[in-house]
Amino acid sequence: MAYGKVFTLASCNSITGNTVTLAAMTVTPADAAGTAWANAAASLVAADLQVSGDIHGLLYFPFGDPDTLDGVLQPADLKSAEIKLTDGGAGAAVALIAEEIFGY
Amino acid sequence: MPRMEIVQLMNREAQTSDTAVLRKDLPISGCVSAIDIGIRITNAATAPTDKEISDILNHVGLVCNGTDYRVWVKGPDLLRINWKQLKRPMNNALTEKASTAQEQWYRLQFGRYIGDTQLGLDLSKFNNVQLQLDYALSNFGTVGTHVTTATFTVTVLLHQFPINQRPAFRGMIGLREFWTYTTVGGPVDKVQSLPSQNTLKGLFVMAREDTIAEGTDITDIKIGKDLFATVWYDGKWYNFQQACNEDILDPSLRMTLALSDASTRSLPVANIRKVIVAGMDSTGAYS
Repeated sequence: MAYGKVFTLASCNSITGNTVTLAAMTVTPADAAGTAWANAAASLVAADLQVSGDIHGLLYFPFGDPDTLDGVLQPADLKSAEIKLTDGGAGAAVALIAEEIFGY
Repeated sequence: MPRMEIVQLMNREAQTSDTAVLRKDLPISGCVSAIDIGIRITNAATAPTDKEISDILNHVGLVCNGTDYRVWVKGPDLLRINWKQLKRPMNNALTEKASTAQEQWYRLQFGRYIGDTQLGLDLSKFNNVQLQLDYALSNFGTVGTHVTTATFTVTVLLHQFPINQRPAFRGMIGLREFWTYTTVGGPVDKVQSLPSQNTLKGLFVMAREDTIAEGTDITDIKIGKDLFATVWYDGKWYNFQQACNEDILDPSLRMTLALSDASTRSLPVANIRKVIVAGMDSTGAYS
């Protein structure tokens, strides 16, 4: 059988935070023309990746009913409102992003 | 709800500069529920591995009357916020293949949903409304090596109400980054006042660092008022993250890799529960 295809075998070896380490090998099957089975570490071969989990580095704090907006914080509530974040490790890019309602 | 229209304001307009602030004036009238922004680049001859296309966008802004910033958010943050808002990732076609185009979409939503007649962007309330994209291809990789020069292209779609069915909006929802910093390790407490000019619907807290477990760099969050005599939220990052992700319908990111053995990818997904990596044949024919 002269199949003529090179296959890629790939797997995930480890996960650290939002980072995956992937292993990949190319495999060439034997064929009737005398080509022997062969394999090698993959280098820049096409592969599909699907990763499922939580959204990285995001928290959302709603301040009211998302449909009726009952309970959203008014400027009077916000005059002395604060957030306290406790750092545990160095190096994260932190951003606070307000979802505000601007009146007309 | 009226039948919404989608107006194409820009159609894959290639930018000649690889680093610039793109300023696009919106029409002078119209009631807009949301703006979709699509960015597209062409990978260069060297496959750009382990790069995030959203890094190109330093900031996405919506500026009214020249100085009134109603939206101001970084590209990677907007990607994640859209995922939370829509409960799925915005549409994309992500690939590391050399000499191939890839794209990512974002949404600025000014109402609670598309077609909201209470909240939205009424362009007639302003003298000028401008969409700003502060971008740099060099954030993605080496221009000319990983990404082809002058291939940053932008598409802008307006989800708007028909001209004869414009609602009288009470207001609009904005999204403003108001404080940034880099964590220093700890435990150290940082306290920041919340913006108080407008009604606050919600607050996004972003803390991004590759290869670090969630809940490490920021461990605890407390939100309240009057020196925390009143407390609205108080707890651990990892617990709030579970609550934050419980309603996500599609927790998966998909992309095509240019894969080498023993290589890493840092992704906008954390607390990873499933990884599927499947080799294609050597031609990568269906990607």
